[in-house]
Amino acid sequence: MITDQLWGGTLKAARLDASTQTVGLVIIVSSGGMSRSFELLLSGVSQFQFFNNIAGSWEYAEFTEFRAARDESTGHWAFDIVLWSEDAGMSGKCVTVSLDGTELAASP
Amino acid sequence: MDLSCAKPDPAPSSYHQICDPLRCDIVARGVRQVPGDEALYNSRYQWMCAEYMTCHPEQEYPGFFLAMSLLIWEPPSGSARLAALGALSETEAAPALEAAEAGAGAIPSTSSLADDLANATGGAAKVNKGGYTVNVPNGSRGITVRIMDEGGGRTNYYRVSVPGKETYTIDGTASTDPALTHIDIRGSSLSDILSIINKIQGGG
Repeated sequence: MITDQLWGGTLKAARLDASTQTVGLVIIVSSGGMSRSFELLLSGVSQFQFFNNIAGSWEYAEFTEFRAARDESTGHWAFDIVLWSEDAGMSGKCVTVSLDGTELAASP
Repeated sequence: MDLSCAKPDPAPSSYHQICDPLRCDIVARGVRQVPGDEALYNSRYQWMCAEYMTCHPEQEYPGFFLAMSLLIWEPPSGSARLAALGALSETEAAPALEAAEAGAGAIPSTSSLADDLANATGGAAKVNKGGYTVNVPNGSRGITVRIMDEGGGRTNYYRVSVPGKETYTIDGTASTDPALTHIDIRGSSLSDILSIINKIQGGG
C-alpha cells in the first residue's frame, strides 16, 4: 500500500473542507537526515472523527499508523489513523484516498 | 579432568548432538560478534567451555571443543584454550555471558513478547489492529510499546514511545526517523525494550 511509507511520520497539518467534503493531511517523513512532505487527500468524506485521550499538549503529532479498507458493496473506504497510540487518532469514511495525487488501490 | 584434545569417538555430526542447542547457539553467536577482539574472544571461549563442562560433566571435553570449533570464528590454537580452562571464575565469565546473550536467543512471537513485557513491567497488554500494545506505567502518559505482527509494510517489529512526546530508537534515543523507530524483533528484544524503558525513566 502506497501509504505504508507514512507510518511513523509527523502530521504537520490537517485541513477539513466541508464544502468539498475533503480532508487534506500533510505528513513529513524524515529518514537518514532527509525529509519528505506528503499530502494525503481523503475525498468524498461522509464521516470524520478526531479523538484524543492523551493528556496535555503534544510535542508533535506522530502519524503512527494509517489503515484503510474498502467496502466492496459501497465502494467507500473506511480509514483509521493512529496518532501515537490507540488513545488518539482520526477515523472516518470517504470515497477516494490519494497520496500526492496517486489514488489508493483496493487490495486484491 | 583430562583436557587432551583427542578426537571424539564417535565424532559428533553437529553440536546439537552433544550440547543444548539453544544454549550453544547463544554462545556461538555471541562469539561471532567480536572477530578481531582476542581478549573478548578468549573470555567467551573460556566461559562456554567452563559452562558446558559444569552442565554436562558426563561429556568428553574434546567432543565439545571440536564441535564448537566448527561454529566459532577462527578457532584458536587448542593448547592456550585448554590451559586456560578452570581459571575462569563466575565473575570473569559474567560479562561474556551478558554480551553473548544480548545478541542472541530464540526470536519470540509478538504475543509472548507482549506478555513477557507486561509481566516484567507491571503493564497491560492489549490486542491492537496489527499486534499488541503494552502500556507501561510511567507518569501521566505512560510508555507505549507497540509490538506488531504487521503494519506499514513491515512485519514483526516494535516501537517504544511516550505518547505526545517522543518515540525512541533501540539505543533509547528520541527520533522521528521511522527507519530507526520501527525495530525488528530479535532474541534479545525483551531486554532491549527494558533497556529503552530504563533510559526513558532516567536510569541511564
